[in-house]
Amino acid sequence: MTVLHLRGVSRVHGAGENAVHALIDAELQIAAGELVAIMGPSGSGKSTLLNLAGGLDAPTSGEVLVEGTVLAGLNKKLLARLRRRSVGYVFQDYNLVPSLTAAENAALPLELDGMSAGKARKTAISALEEVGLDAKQADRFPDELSGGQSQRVAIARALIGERRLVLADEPTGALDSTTGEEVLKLLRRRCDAGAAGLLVTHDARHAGWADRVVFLRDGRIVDSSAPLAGAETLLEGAQ
Amino acid sequence: MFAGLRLSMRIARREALRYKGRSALSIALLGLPLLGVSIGATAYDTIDLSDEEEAVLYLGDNDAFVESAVPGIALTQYDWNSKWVGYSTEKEVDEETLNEAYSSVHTEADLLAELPAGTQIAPYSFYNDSGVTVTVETPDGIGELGTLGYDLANGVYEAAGWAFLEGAAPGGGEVAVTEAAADYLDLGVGDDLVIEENGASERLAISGIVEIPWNLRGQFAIAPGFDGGANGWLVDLPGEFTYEQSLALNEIGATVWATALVVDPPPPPPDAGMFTDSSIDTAMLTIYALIIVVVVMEVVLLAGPAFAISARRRTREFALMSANGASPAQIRNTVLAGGLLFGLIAAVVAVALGIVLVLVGLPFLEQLFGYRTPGLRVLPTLQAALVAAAIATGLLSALTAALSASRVNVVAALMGRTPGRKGSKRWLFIGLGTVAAGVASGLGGVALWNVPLMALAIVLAQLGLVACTPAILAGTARLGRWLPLAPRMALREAGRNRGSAAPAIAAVLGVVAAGVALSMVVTADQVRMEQNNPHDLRQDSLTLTMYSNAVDESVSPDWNSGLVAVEPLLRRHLTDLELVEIPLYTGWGGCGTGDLPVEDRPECNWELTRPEEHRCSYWDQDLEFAGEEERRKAAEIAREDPNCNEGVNDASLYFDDVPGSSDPTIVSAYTELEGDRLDEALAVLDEGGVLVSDAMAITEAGTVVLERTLTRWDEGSDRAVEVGEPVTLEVPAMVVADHLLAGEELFLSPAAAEQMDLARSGWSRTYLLETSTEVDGSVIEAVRADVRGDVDEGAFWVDLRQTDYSDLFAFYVVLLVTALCSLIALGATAVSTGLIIAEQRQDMTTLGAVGAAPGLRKRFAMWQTVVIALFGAGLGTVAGVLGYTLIRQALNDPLRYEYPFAVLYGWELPWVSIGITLAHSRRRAVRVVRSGRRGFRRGRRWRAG
Repeated sequence: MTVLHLRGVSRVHGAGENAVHALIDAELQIAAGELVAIMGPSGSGKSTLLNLAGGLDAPTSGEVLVEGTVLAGLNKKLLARLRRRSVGYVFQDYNLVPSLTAAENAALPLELDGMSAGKARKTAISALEEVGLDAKQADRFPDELSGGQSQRVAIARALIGERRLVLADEPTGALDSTTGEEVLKLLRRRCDAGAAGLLVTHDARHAGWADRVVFLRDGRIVDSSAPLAGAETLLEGAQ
Repeated sequence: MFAGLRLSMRIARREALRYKGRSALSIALLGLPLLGVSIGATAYDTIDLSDEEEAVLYLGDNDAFVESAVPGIALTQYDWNSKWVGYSTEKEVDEETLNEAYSSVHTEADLLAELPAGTQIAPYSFYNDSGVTVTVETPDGIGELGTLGYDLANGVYEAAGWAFLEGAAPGGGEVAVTEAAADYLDLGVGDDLVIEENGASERLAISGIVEIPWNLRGQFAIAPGFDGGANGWLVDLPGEFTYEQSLALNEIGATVWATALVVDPPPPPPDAGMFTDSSIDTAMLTIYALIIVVVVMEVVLLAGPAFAISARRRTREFALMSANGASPAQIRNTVLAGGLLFGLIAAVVAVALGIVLVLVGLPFLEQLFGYRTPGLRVLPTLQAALVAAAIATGLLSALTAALSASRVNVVAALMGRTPGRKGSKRWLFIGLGTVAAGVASGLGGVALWNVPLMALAIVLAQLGLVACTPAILAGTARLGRWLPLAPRMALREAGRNRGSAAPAIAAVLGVVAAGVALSMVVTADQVRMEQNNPHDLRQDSLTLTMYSNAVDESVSPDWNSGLVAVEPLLRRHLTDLELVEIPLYTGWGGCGTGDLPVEDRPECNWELTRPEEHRCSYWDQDLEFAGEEERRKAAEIAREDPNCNEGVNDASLYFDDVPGSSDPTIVSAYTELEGDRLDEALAVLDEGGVLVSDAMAITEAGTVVLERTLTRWDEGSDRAVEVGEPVTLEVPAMVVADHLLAGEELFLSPAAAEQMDLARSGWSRTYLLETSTEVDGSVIEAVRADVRGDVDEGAFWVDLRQTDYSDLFAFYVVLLVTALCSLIALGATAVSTGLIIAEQRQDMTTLGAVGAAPGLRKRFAMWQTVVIALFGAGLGTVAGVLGYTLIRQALNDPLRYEYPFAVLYGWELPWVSIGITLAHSRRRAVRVVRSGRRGFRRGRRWRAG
């Protein structure tokens, strides 16, 4: 089942002579249980693609569909609901709300969706346990957690509830390699459990966790391969 | 929905705890004005007495105060709940009988005859001046003291709450004094009070210091031997006072103020309507409403930037929430929850602190108002309204920040990019439109006399100016090229980061607007008071008046010998003394009829007339039976007529004590003229002319016409009748300022006085004293003491006075408003500076990296706050003047239709107040920049950790 479908998506910033074509005519489908890595040099449109996929940005042309819903047809309120219920984000620098505990951060989409705080907390603690954090750590604030723990909380939040699309923007960028590997392993495991994942990374070794790798250059998808072996060689052409 | 609200509140609470300093600042900014209102509300409720409490304050445990209104004549009493009793007498009583009754009092026996056996009574009055004033020895010399002829040993006074703070009731040769009198005289129990009367000294030992619960500041000596002091009786019955007993007392011409009848008033008489209190003045309500709107706007503008700082710093957090599915409304709620929380905390703290401060300051408050209160009261309804208003104000303050947070560019915020600035033209148009709407609303509000429209005008005008700020900043940033580096950068940065600078300016704008509006009200009121109070001599003029002790006016004392005796005594205290006699003329001598026996002399009155072309149109209106509308119309027309310039204090009853001289010192002291203008006035006087303060009295020829009428009291018709035909006199004249020459509006030349057949008073001589000594109350008391001992025993008694028109109350109010504004401006500047430091952290680092000395960075930060302060003060002044325009309109409206004209509220700008506020905010800004930078360094270390 296709969870994410980008159909001929383009994104242009600015107009006229100052127009910047961030993404050009992108076609991409990700099915449930599939982890797709996006690679490309800086400015190639990786983050733009991710933002469009999550409905944070709107395409200039083309369509983005999440679980069959065309995002262009949704107003701000419905887009917010879609993000609460269907899409989870993981960012490079954790991006946890500093005034909420780990459990509350993980439960944030549920609480925003109207679930009671107690029920949301129970669900969040289960989600945190799944990513390897215990109840004690669940009550810590972000500034009391290590980088790896913070990113686990972010992954738990990204997949809490019924959400089936994880958008991860260089989730290991701020972590040491061992912790980074653990985070990716976690992501892989969540995808294996039925989620669809889109992973933006610069690191070819991390792309090795993906089922497919999509290469972007100057806003265009230039290649796609799955599963990858020896991704390092492919990257050379993209540098 | 509630789950979302709970989440918002939780985030707000945690954010408040994470940034305690910022939270405290926001709460302080919201709470400070509320604290003022809370103190005001608590103090008001505490000092505002109900009718019953007022009765208890004055009567204590006694039953009633019975006042001798018209002894012997039956009366109908209309009010039972106040000490000011309305009554009427039977119509058939003739005037003579009535006048006799007015001047007599009931005896103790009269009253006791109407009251049950066992009734205790004691003479009593609640008028401060009902007793005789005596001259007493003071630490500095000789002063005055009121006396009350009460026997404080009578238990009725103790029952009335008169308590001895020290000592006991006076016996023979003793006296009790009030605490204020003891302080003034610097005397205590056991000391002697020395009374100087009629050349003799009398020493009375002070037996006790007594407190009058309703007159804490009254300076009195109390002993049975003093004359007067009572206009009625304090009554304590064996049982309760009844309505029937009151009616019996009414029958003998006494009115009754009884606690029992205040609590349970009898039915009013059928014709009592004319005596009922009027409803609360709608004009005053309008003024209060407008002032409240100004204060609320100030708080909103003041606290708004604190929320703006917080929201800007949390942009990434909001973007993250948005990425996790928070809708714009949920983001808005998160920020608004902060406003709600801070508003609630600010209200609770302000209300609690206000109540505690009033409780602590209750003795001071009672001294200030001069009476004891029943205890602390908090006006719960107003305090509750205050909490509600605080929450609403907190929400309003956070509203802009909430709206801007909900529109955050999620992608840009998550990527750490600054979104492109939008043009400020849109805001300029919005701002100008809002100001225009405010002006239209104000005009409509005034035309329709509609408070909501006027209040809306104030809100719209201030918001419109705030909206114009970014465009004004962008415009003025272009002028930076001619400035040195630091101010140039500061100006351009303010223009570049106008999204941050505008709320900071709004904060200062709010403070200055409220301060300017309120100061303008007080300043204009002060000017009105001055104009309502026509000046006689120049401020601080020192005069000596010698009064004859002779019984017959025609036996004129030897004034020169008196002066010879007094002058050396004056020189003891006054250095470089010069005495110049002020010739004062009177019409009492009968204008040339002084040869006749006193009883045959007519009364002479000279009056300034106006030429026909300067006749006021109002004079010709027949308004005796006119209705309210007709009178208003006539007054309105008169306001437009330049010939109608009569003020309420222009009229004078008697032609008496009119100065006449050609001595430059005297002329200058009365007319405040100097240089060429003084020479001009002297020339007119040398020609035998006069100086006048009514410009409309001057004819085309530069003269004035004075008209003399002689009147004599006709016993038969019981009124004054004119004797002979009026006589006119035309003399050269010059106009001086219209608030001068109080009374007759005339300053005569000796020649004119002679032509007018005016006489000098046989009772007194007045001298203007010029000295290099700084004269104050103690100097005057010391002079009085010397003079009294050596001169007063003879043919004269002497009085020394200093002219003082100043109104210290208004001055202190302006000072208080200014101080409060400066204090709040400190908070506003702290906010604005915090905003600047937060926004330009990177620029500061860049400056350091390229080798800028710390001094330059310091100057740059300082200039930033100068820019904020200047813009805030400038726009705040405009907003304040707009606010004052409406308040002024509300104040003037009821005055506009009075004739003679009440002085209207004008356009006096409180320059001193504005200057102090501006200078203060700038100076404070520099300090805050320095401490803020230290805070920033600490914050950076924390983040790095």
